[in-house]
Amino acid sequence: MSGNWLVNQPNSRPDIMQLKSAIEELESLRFVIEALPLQSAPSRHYLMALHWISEEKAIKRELAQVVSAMHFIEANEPLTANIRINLAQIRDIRGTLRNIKTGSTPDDIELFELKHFWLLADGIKRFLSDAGVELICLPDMGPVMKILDPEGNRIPTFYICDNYDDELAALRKAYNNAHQRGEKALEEQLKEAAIQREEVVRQHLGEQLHVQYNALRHTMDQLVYLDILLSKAILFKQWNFTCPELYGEGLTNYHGLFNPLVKKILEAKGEHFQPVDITFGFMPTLITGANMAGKTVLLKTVALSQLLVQFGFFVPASEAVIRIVDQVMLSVGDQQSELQGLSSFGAEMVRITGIIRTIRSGKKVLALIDEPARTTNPTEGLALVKAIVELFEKMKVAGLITTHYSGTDFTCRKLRVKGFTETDIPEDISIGNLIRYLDYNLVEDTGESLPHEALRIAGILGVDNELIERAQYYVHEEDRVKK
Amino acid sequence: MPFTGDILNYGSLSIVGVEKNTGKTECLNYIIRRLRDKGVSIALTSLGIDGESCDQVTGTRKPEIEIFKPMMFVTSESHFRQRRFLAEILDVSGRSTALGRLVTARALESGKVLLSGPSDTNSLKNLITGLKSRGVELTLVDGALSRKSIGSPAVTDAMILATGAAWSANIPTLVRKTKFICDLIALPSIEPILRDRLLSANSICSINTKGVVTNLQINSLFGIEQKEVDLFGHGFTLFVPGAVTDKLLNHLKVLKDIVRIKLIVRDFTRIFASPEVYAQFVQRGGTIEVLLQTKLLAICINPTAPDGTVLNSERLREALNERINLPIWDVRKLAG
Repeated sequence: MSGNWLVNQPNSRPDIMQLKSAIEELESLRFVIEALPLQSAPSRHYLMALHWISEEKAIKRELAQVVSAMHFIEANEPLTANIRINLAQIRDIRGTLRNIKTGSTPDDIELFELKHFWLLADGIKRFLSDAGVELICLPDMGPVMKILDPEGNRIPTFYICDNYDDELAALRKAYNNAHQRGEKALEEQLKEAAIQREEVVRQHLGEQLHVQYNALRHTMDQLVYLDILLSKAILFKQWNFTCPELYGEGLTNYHGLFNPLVKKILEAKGEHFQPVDITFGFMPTLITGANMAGKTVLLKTVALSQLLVQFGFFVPASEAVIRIVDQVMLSVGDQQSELQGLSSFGAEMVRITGIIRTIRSGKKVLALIDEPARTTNPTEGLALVKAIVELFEKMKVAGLITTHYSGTDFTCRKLRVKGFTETDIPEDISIGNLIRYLDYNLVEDTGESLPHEALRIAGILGVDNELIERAQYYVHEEDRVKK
Repeated sequence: MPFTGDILNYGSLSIVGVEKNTGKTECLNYIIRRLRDKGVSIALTSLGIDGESCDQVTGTRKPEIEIFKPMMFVTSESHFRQRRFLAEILDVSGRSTALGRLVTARALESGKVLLSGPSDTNSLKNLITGLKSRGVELTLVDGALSRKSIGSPAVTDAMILATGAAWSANIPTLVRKTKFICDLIALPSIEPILRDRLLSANSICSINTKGVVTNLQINSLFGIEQKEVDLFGHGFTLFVPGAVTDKLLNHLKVLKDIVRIKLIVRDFTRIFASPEVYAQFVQRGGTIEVLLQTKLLAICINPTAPDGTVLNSERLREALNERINLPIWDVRKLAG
């Protein structure tokens, strides 16, 4: 996981992150995006080119559109199905549109594609106007229809018909006569003339379509937008995502936050994902808790939600209030850094440097740091965590930092994952059913002492008994010395 | 005239050459000419890219397919653009082949076209179904019989086989090889319930007498004679999705349960075994059945090979007729 979300992409606004680079960074985001039931061939390309939005108004507008789409689907189920059937038939005609834009002469296949597309678009426009809904805005379909369907029979087939040109019609008639009379030489001559005349007609059609390029392009964009919008509405309803409220400078507050990817994996194993509630402001919050208590998943889920909302999506929670930021920065260790030749500590320091640099540049950052400095010695490690927390406090950075380092030394707000409930842990507990006995809820941490659950979990994981007994001896020894 | 009446009883027909230059295209052109006035809605396509206007191996000119109004045809974008006759585009496929997307069109004049089409069996099957829904009563497929091909012409309801001097310049050899292909095409098909279950299977499966299918979790039978695998623990019927080779048949034919062993293959093109080994397997009691079966209607012969060999057409016809109980025609005589 790189600490820098600002990956440069060759697009119209290279400084702004696109969805296609965001999904590379966060697997659960990819999971949500790939679950969208898109219909039309070019939709995925458009979706991947979506830009990160940091203006609250623009996000609100987009979320409101999704809400409208949900209402539309609920009220017009059969109509939605018909619109989606039309959308599913839309081909990727971006190449053809590019040719029209440059003014090159289209061939019959391109003209067929455009006519096929335009008839589908016209059908969708009629469906929407029958329902009196304005989810999208389509142009007057008439001018392009006249070019592509001069006979007005609305059949999605294409050839250069006689109606296009009197001279062509005459040539064809003469050719047919020669063909029937068996005059081979004349036949060939007329065929050649007809083929050349067809090309003149195509050139003329290309010029007319070139004038209509903006209408064509706009229609394509709008239909793809409609496809994405309907797909979002369908998916969010199915997956119980919620439309978040946005607060410029308030607290971020999730109720019933869940990770759809982890939820699905657990459900496949017959287990159940425990949604959590979390509130945080524009000050760092330290999160402690046992191993396997879901701290990393929590950070990734908070990152996922922030990314989703700032790409105009609903979030996986039952209720959510979200503060909009300029950038989400997540630091979670993984094996990739080692593959790049950096030690895990080195890679982490690079990520944290990136985060601090971005904060210093004046950007509003949501910093999510998983167990910083866990791979170095405890003395300096603790010092580093303290320094990060203090720096974030000083610069008023919204951040969640997970750690195993002792909580007493920190002045900032502290949360703890409850972990094992105090009720009896049954004998048959194992790695497979462990999550049933863990409480993933967060509580304010009073900070006296960290729960000693690592060895308990190691035992459940089946770690060698002698190893655990020896470790337990040293834990007791230290507690005794402290007293 | 020969065999055209019979063809109309089928929804799809492939014309398959056992080798290049065995007269497949002449045969196809003949059928198209015979059927043009029959009032039947016809579509033409090809299995894979077989439509180079010049045969790339031997340099001989490969005839284009002649098409008449209002037949439908399916070919790749690039071959579609090369045609000179007027045609109305009905559809352009979403998926692309090596020569671009497939264009479905209706001929508005007669003319010549190079045919190319889907290269895998499933796409061809879907294409034929799609053409049917457009009102096509008979789809003619320019087929290929190549071991390299991933598509099989066996998806068509019926088939005509083109054979000739290009395959062997020796009449007895040619007859023996052709007879073997005919025997394979005639392999019986399994019962429909089992077929539907096996069509999507991609690995070796065992089927017991109650029809229960068990996936044996082995991907290939390559080197099976050395492996400690119990192929027949669940039943004596074995579905083999890949190739059936001499090695496999040699391994099976010596087993004591050979009379109970039944192999199921997708279609006859998956049998790569030699005629001799296949014959031994069958003689010892082994059986082979297919998922996809096609009805062989006739055989076309081309007594001329590109290297200049010319066989005696009558003698070849007679020799084939002795072994194969099907109509046999000389393609050059058909053309004339």
